[in-house]
Amino acid sequence: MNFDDIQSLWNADDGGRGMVVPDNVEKIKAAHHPVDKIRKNMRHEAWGQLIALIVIGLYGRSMPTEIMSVIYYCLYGVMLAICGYYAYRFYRFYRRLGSSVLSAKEHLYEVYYDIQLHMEMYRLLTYALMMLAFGFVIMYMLMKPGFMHAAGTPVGVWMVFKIAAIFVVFMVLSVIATEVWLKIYYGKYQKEIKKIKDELKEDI
Amino acid sequence: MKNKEQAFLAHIESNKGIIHKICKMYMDTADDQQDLFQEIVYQLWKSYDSFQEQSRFSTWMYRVSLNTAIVFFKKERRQLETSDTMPEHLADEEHRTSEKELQLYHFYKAVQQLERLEKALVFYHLENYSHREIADNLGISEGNARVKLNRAKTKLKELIKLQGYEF
Repeated sequence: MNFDDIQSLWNADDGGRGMVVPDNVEKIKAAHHPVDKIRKNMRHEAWGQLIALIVIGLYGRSMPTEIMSVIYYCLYGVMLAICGYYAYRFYRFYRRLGSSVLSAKEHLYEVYYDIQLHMEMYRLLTYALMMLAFGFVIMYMLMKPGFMHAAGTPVGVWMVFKIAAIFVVFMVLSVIATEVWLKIYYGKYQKEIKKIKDELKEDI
Repeated sequence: MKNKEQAFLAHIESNKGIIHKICKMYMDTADDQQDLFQEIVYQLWKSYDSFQEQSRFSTWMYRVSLNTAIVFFKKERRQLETSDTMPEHLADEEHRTSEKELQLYHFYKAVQQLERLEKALVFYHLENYSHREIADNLGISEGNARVKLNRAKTKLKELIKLQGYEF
């Protein structure tokens, strides 16, 4: 056997049997390209974030005191600004993503860094919102009726430890949840693309 | 818009054979091949504006199709459906339609075991692209293309032999 046999076999294969070309491009519904999957995930996440913002906005009406409502909505305003900024960045990123006619190497690098960029933006947004949530929890504790009254009384070491422990556990769980989410939805594509990208390395 | 779409679909109809060959190189089941075929047509349509009439349609199509196939991930629910057994009509001597069909079966089965970029190298080679053209399309140096292609060809022959088949 030599490669000429394979060549003649290849030339003799008509290939197209059984494949049906749709008569309308609207009928083509495909989304297995990693970048298209990201676009699909982004659409779902955008709706999820919008619903979360509305729910969080409505929750502010149930604050026990007026001053708490004012502070709550101040923090909510910061949250809207952060979400608005990232929504704009995600939208620009979303519009830019698309198929390309680059060389295989350039295409792989583009897909790889698009996924990386998206993951980093997602991480930044999550951590920014996490800090805001911390701010809200601290505000809630400080403004809780009775807290200011007790402000002069000494606080036990055990209480400080408990508060610190709650913050640390909350932070660790949030970081783990974010990383797991990123790994499940985007990391697997990035890992696979990296593997293919590495195949292109010069090995002469 | 309608004319553009019709022109595009006419191009696809006349080139569906070569697209299917790419699908058979990259996917091992009929369902996955059909999925990849749809994906390639979808990506070609998305990129259609970048097709310059002065260049050959096939040149542009190969690039987009292979870029799509290289990063295509099959549906997870189908990953367990891969089978090492030969289709009944090929295993059964009496019903074997032709020796060519059996050769093609072994060829594609071996190609499917190559790495994704090796498949692209073999494809361009079988389509009579020079080392220079292969290098340009993959974005690597000509020397690297030559080395990788020779390695892929050797690997392909060994994989066919491993199946206990010789042309």
